[in-house]
Amino acid sequence: MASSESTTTSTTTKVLRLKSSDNEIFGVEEKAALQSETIKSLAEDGYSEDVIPLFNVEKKTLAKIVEWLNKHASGSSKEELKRWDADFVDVDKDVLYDLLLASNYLNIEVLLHQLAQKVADMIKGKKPEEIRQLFGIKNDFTPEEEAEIRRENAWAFE
Amino acid sequence: MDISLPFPKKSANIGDNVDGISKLPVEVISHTISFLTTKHAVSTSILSKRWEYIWTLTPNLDFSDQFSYNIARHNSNNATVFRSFKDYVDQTLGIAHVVSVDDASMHRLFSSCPVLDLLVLSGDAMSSVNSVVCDSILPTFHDLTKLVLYVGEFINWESLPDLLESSPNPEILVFPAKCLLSSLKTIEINNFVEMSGEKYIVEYLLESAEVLEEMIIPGYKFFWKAKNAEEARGS
Repeated sequence: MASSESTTTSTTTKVLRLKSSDNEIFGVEEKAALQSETIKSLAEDGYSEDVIPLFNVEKKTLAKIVEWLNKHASGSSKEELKRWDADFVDVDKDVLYDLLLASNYLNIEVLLHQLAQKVADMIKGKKPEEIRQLFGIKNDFTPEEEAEIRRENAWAFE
Repeated sequence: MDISLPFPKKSANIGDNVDGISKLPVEVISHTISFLTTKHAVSTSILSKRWEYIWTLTPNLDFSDQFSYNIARHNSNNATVFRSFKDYVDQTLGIAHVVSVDDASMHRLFSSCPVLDLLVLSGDAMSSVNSVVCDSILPTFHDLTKLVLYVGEFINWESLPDLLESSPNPEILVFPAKCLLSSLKTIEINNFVEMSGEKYIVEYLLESAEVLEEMIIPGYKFFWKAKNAEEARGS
């Protein structure tokens, strides 16, 4: 155990330490972590030796993000990743929003794309009333305003 | 494993039914909307005031759900052409975005979507573009890099120069093969500088445009090439 320092030098897998807004620290291999453009620029700014603070991501969300980063740096086959990703985004809406916010803030394009696609799939084929109900969106238009929008874009509401 | 909870469990809480999605940044919502067909995306304008204009930030127009309507109006022969063309676009450009709407909607779409990057126009849609050009000036589509024209037999070319002028950064321009065979009579190419890609296009046009009567390339002597192509065509 004491010799671990010398044995790891040959493979030199650098580990970045990411700190959540609620002060939990996650160790992530550099290769995996740099899929985030935000982490990449923070690392380039000299944070890489130190802890990288991610003020906008809570630990429960960061844990999921780290899981995704590791999986996508693991060299899994395309097929396997596809299945894994489908499971990954199959979560409650609240978790989905947190992941969307985090992947937007961390600028992880592939993940953001997957999550946005997931939300779009939930919206697809639904009428406005059903979408409002599904997401708890409050209709704050007056009946007159709503009628006006429907009239303006009538072709979209056929 | 497959148990998915449609709603969060804390339903008795005050957090219940909180509108989390509308609290997402606008760019995230518009990214989400970009996966929907344009018709569906426009219909999200009715959800709430927050959503009213988000769809206009979507970088593409996707009218693929209007296909069935179009096909029903044309004969079955046309429908197969349409189908294979759509497949072609799917393969080469990734997504099919076909516009076919009435004139008023075309007006509104053009004035609300200056960030278009891909535009696919059907024949009906070209007439609507004409009407927009007649009534007003087209917006400038700075991000429009791919323009695909599917104009079928009823070709409405008058507005094409305007459309191209409004799109300063095109990278891909796709014409229907049919127009070359049956109706394209005059081609004028300005600022020709004999780059290899340009020569290829000219050769292609000379070989393919069967009823071509005149090709004008101002300030450029092109007779030798044209003759060659003429021979290649065997006529």
